[in-house]
Amino acid sequence: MPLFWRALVRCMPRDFRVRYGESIALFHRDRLAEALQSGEPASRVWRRAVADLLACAAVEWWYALARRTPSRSVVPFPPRLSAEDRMSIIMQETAQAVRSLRRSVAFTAAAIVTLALGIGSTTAIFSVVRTVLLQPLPFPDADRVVEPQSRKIATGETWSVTYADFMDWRDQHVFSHVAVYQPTQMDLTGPSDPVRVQAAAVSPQFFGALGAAPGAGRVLQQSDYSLDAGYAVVISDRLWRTQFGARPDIVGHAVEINAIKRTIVGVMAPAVRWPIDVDLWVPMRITNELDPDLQRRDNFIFDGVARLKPGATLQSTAATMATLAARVVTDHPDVRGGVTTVPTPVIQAMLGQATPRALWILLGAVGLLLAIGCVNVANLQLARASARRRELAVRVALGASRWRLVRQSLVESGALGLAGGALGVLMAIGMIKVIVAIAPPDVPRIELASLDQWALAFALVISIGVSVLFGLAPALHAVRQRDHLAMGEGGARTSVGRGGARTRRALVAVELALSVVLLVGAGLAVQSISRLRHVDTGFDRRNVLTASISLPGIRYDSKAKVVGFIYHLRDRLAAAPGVKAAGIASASPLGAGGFYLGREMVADGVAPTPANEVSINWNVATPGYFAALGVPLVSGRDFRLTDDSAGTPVMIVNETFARRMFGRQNPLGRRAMSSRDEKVEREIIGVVRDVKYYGASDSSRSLVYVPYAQNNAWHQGIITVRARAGALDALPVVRRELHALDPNIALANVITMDEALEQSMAGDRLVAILLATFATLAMGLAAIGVFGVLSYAVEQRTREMGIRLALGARPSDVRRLVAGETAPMVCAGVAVGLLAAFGLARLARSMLYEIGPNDPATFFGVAITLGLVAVVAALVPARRAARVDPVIAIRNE
Amino acid sequence: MPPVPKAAWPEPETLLPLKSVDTLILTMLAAGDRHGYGIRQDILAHSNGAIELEAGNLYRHMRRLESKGLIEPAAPRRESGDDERRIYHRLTPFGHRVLAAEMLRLRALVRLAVSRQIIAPGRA
Repeated sequence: MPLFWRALVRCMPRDFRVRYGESIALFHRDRLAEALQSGEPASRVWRRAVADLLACAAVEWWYALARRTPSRSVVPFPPRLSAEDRMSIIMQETAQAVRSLRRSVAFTAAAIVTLALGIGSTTAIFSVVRTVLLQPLPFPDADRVVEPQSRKIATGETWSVTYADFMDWRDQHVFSHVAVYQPTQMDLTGPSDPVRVQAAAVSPQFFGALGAAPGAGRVLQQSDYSLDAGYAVVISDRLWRTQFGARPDIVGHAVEINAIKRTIVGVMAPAVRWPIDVDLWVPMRITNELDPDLQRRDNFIFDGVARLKPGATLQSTAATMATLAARVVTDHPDVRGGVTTVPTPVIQAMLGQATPRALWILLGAVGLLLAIGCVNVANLQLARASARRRELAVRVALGASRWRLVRQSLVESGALGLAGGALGVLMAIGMIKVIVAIAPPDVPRIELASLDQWALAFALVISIGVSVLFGLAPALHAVRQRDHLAMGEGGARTSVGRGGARTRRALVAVELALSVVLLVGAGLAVQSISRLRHVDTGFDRRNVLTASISLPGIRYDSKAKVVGFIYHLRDRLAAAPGVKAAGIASASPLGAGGFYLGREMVADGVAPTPANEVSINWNVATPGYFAALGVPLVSGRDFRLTDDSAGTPVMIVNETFARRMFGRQNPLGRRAMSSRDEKVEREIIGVVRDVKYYGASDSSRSLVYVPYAQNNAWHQGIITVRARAGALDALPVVRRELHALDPNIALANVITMDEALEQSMAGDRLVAILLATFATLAMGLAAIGVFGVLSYAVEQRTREMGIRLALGARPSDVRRLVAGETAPMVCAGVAVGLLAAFGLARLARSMLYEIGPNDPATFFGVAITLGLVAVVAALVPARRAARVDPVIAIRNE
Repeated sequence: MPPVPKAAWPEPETLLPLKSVDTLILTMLAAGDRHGYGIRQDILAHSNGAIELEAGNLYRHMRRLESKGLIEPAAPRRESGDDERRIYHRLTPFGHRVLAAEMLRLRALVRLAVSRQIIAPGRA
């Protein structure tokens, strides 16, 4: 019989094995022999046999343990043990550990729940981290797909690229495939209301760079780009299912997108979407690559994607790109000074910096929580080990070796760890659901997080890992005890030894220190979010509804048509019932939608050099927009209908712009122009208050507003409506007025300004909620730790207390004695924790709003809170010590 | 496991109903002494290959039957070519009674099924 088979049989309880082991082996031999004759595959025989024996072993062990047969482990074993006997010893030890854990229900329950909380939280956050950060994107060799980006050398800030740079990379074969694309939104007109979908106009090598194969049909090919070819579109698997009912004959079907008939040539494979939320890909048709706009080196309006050349590495490609970028700097120092280009791995480009940092911080936080849980369980086990000294003494007397004692202790820890892990996995399932539900919508892929085989493996590994960690202290303790006992030192009445008590107190100090770190983190995050919540957004958010529209260029092919439609719609909305004020602008504050153009401006009479330029965000608006949004006009006037292409070019600026460009001078009546592109001098006719443009935590930006009638035809608009009653009540009115003018335009991204504020804080809020939860758990565990250690110490010293009281000590003296035990442990723990937090808090700096990472109030508050919690936890044992009845205490011994 | 003394044997009915695997094992042993693999083959043949017992499961049930005193190890046969380590089992008299009681119970059940017209009456 092979070794493997014997190992299987050895999994059985001993008496079953002795009785039937041989019969089972013979059975198996017969079975194999017959399988050979009948043609049954041997693999099937083995598979069935293994499953059968394992199931059988599990059932038999269950019965064996349930019968609680007395342990044989105290019987000294002969010095030489066969492999079989060793196996059986381990089985017995497991059985013994389970029995011993079953005897102390309270201890076991506390330990398992503590571990489950730690392991469960860690597993849940790990699942999210793996899904969002670590899982490769669904492209072949996804680690070779990069996003070329422009980067400011001084700050490391990255952004999109120019078409001219793209042409360099393509023509000099820097990559095996390289493409640019522009994400946009398009209206898909179907049988029902038109829908707005995320789309991308992509250059020819786009799909080659991704390496993405279609699920049906084909991807875009060179012929789709020629100007006389029909219009082609590739759709995502998601769109195919949601909008086209997954109809099998979709390829070749024609659809209307932004008023253009396009033929669906392919459906992408499921899950392949790039950029991450795109549903449509259309060819980006470039009529003339020599167009001066495309030749400009500062026209950063394209996103890039590329696949590394075979044999090239990220580093070698980065070097090539840097060389090319340096040449561009030499040729165009005015616009490209200090700027280089870099290949960024796509996953990094997709996630940015905030999300990974937040997730790693959370993983660190749950790691701390898990560590605290381990310390607590180690402590509980130490206390219990001391209480089981008699058992230990018997076993040592019967000749148990050191290794055996260590093993016994580790086996017990292992059983606890695995039980905690199992419960933790169940908790993790729930936690992942909660995290996904409250996560901000802009975290890519988080909805895919689930308890997969990776998470399970992770949970198993950390369960075993922590078992060893928290099992080590009790195991070493057992060895030390054994040596004491072996030398006849361990009288039944002496205290357990200073060593054990010291270890326990040190562990509690560690626990307190870890809690301080977590509490400081949570304190900072919670204060940050509460400041965000009360932030002054600069405008009156109540009852403001916004929604975006996009006019198809093919029907609205002149500026007159676009402006006519926009102004007409605004007038209708402003006059509609239930609407107090209405306006339309190209972008909404609080990151609620739309698009600001980044431009540079110089004041009148100033040379347009980089030193004189002020970077601004360019917003296009209609009259009435500021009243609708509730932005106060500080000085000057709003736009009028007469501010049109015939009138003087005008603009309204915000306070930051006025301050940056004109200092304390009155900006009204002054002129400024966009120095690099529009080059039209515009007169400032009004100044409005600053608003938070990209979210609640945004800093002050310079912003200028120009009227639609004086801008190039701008086809996008965010309808902004101030309702008389609830913001959402105005939605039907807005829809009705829009469709009265043009029924084929989709109303998309409907959001109230209150919702926009909440959404812009969702990420910070999630982190704050989770950190606060973990910190509260940590504090609870630390309190239990303090309580446990002191209770145990008091119990051990009942006799001593009794004698002290009998000799005339007052209860207050005894209380002071207990306090004396607590104070150094708490102080040391809190002090170490504050130091660690001081060092670690800097990592979270960029996530904090209006609060420094070393905010003294937070640190002080945490120290006081934890100190108070420790005092409360110490109170009960101290009172018990003071109430010891001397007579009973001394007689009991 | 020592055989349960006769005086201590419970009434057969207290062990009913038997598990279906137990019933099958006992029925096969009623035809004569068998070793474990033989029982498996009999059950396979009887069920046209539908019931395929594996060693662990089989011996688990046999152990329970043995501890209840329904079966016992039989004297080893010394046939040519037979492995001398092979253990044969046989039905104890008590086992016979329990099996019979189970079969009576099943017959009553079958009759009920016939009277309720769930199945047609058998020809035998």
